[in-house]
Amino acid sequence: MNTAFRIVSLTLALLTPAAALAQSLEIRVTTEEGTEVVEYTADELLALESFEIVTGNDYADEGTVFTGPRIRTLFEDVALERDDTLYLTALDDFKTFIPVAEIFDYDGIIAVLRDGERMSRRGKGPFWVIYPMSDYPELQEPIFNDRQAWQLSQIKVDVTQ
Amino acid sequence: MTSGFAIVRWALAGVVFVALGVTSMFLFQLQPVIDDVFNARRAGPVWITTRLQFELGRLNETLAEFANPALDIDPEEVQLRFDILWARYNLSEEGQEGVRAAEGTEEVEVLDRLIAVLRAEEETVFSLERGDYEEALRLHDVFTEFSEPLNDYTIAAKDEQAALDHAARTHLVSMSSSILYVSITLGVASLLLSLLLFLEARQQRRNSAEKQRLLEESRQAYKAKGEFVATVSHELRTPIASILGTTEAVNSGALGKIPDRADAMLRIAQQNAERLGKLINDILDFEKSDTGDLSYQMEPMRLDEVVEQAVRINSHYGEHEGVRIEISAMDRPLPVRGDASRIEQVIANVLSNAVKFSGESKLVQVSCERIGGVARIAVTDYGIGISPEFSAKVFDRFSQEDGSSTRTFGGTGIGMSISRAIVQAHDGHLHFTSMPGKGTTFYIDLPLDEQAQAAA
Repeated sequence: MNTAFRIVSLTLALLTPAAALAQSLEIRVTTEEGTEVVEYTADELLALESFEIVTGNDYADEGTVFTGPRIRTLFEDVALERDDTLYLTALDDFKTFIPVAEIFDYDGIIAVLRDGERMSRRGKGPFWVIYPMSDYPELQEPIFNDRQAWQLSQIKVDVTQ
Repeated sequence: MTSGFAIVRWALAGVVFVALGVTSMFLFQLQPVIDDVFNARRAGPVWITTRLQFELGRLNETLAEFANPALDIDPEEVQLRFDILWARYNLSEEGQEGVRAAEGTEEVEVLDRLIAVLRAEEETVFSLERGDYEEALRLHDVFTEFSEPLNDYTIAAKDEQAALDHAARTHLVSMSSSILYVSITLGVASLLLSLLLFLEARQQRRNSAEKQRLLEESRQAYKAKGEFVATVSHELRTPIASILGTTEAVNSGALGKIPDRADAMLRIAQQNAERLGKLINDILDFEKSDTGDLSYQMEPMRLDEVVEQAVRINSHYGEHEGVRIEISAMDRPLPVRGDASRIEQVIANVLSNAVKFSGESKLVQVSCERIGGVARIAVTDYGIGISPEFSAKVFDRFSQEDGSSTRTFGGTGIGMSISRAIVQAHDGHLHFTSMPGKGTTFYIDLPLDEQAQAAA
C-alpha cells in the first residue's frame, strides 16, 4: 500500500468515525512498516469485482444467493502467506478467525447482498462472510459455519508474525 | 456329524451377519445424534439468549454514557446498539429450526414485550440528538426493566439446553448399550464360529488320517492278493504241465493202443487241461500287467508274418468251433518294433473272441494294412456285436457282457485288459467298432518301424 493511500485512509478514518461505527467494514493490516487501516462502505465493496455464491448455512436456507467481492481481493496489496490468519470481529463483538489458506482454496466472499437486497444490521448485515458451502462437501463441517461471521465490522491481519 | 456342523455353522454365520447389520444400523443412527449434540453446543438456546442479554446490557451501558454530559457520546452509538439488540431479538425469534429458544416456558413472553418496546421506542432512538439526556435516561429505565426477565429467560433456556443435552445423552447411552449388547452377541457368535471351524478342521484331519490308513491297508491287501494269485498260479502250472505231458504221451500212442472210449475221455481231459493251462497263463499275465511286471523283448519284426502265423495257429481252434478264419487283405512287408510273441498273444486273444462271438455267420475276417505311419490289424466278426452299455467295459478286468454264472461263453474276462496293456506298451492302440446284431471289428494299431522301412 503506498504512502499517499495510507494518508487518505487514515484521514478518512479520523474524519468519519460515525460511518465506521455504523455501516462500513474496517480492514486493519499490520506490516513491518506499521498498521494501515482502510474503510469500505457497502457501495465501495460492490464497486469491486463481485461474485455470486449460491449456498445455505446455519442461518440461511439452501439456494440463497449472496453477492460481494472475494475476501482475498481486499488483501491484494498485502503479501499474505497461506499460514497467516485473518481475525474477524462483528458488531456485537463476536470474534472468530479465518486461516488465509481458506480464502485462496474456497474463494469466500464478503457478501453485501442477500438475494439481491442489502442486509440490515437488524438482521445479519451489513456484511456477511460467505463460503461456498454447497460446492465443497468438506465445508459442511460445523467449524466452517463459525467462520462465516455475520454483522461483520472488522478484519485484522498481522503479517509480521 | 458333518451336516450337524453345517447347520450350526450357517446359524452362527447368520447371527454374525444380523449382528453386523444391527451394529451398522446403530452407527448410522448415531451420527445425527452426535450432530445434534454438537450443534446444540454451538448455537443452542443458551447461546442465543445470552447474546440477547449481553446486547441489552450494552444498550443500557451506551444509554447511560449518552446521558452523561461529560462523555459526549454520538447518538449513532445508541442507534447501533439498539439495532444490534433488535438483531438479537430476531435471532431469538428464529431460534433453532423456527422454534424460539425456551418456547413453551413462561419466560419466553419477554420476547413479545421486548419487540413491543423496540417498535414503540424506535422513532425516539433514531431522533436522539446530542444533549437529549432526559430522553436517554427514560430509555435507560425502560430497557433496564428487561434485565431481570431476560436473565430469567436465559435460565429457562439453560434448562431447555440441559434437557436437550440430557435427551441426546440418554439417547447416546441407550444406543451405546444396544451396541454393546450387539457387540457381545457378535463376539460370542464369532467365537463359537471359530470354535466350530476348529472342531470341524480337527474332525476332517482325523477323517483324512483314517482314510489314509484304510487306503494303505487296502493297498497291502491288494498286493498280498496279487502275490497269492501269482504264487498259486505258478504252483498250478507244474502239475498242469505234468498232466498235459502224460495225456499227450497216452494220446500219441506211446503207451500202446488204448480202447476207443478211453481215448475219447483222455482227449477231453487233455483239452480241459490245455484250457486250464491257458487260464493260468492269463491270470499270471494279468497280475504282471497290473504291477507293470510284464516283460517284453522288443526287436524288429514283420507284423504281416506274425499275423499269418497267429491266424494259422488259431485256425485249428476255429475249425474246432466250426468257424472259418480268412485273411481278407494283407500289405507286405509291415515292419514294426515289438515283442512278436506278445503281439501274437494279442492277435490270438482277439481272434478267439471273434470266433467265440461270430454267431451264425461262422466267419472271421482278418486284414493287415498300412494306414499312414501305422500298421493296422482288423479282426471282424459278423456275430452278436457289443451292446452300447457294455462298450465302455470291454477293456475292464473280469468283465463279460453275460456276467451270469450260466453264461454261454467261457473265459476269465481279463484277456482284453491284458491285450490292451501289451498294445499300449508298444505305443499302439487297441480299439473297436461294433453294431449289435451285425458284428464287431477290433483294431490293433501299431506304429510302423520307419528305420527298418527306410533300410528296406
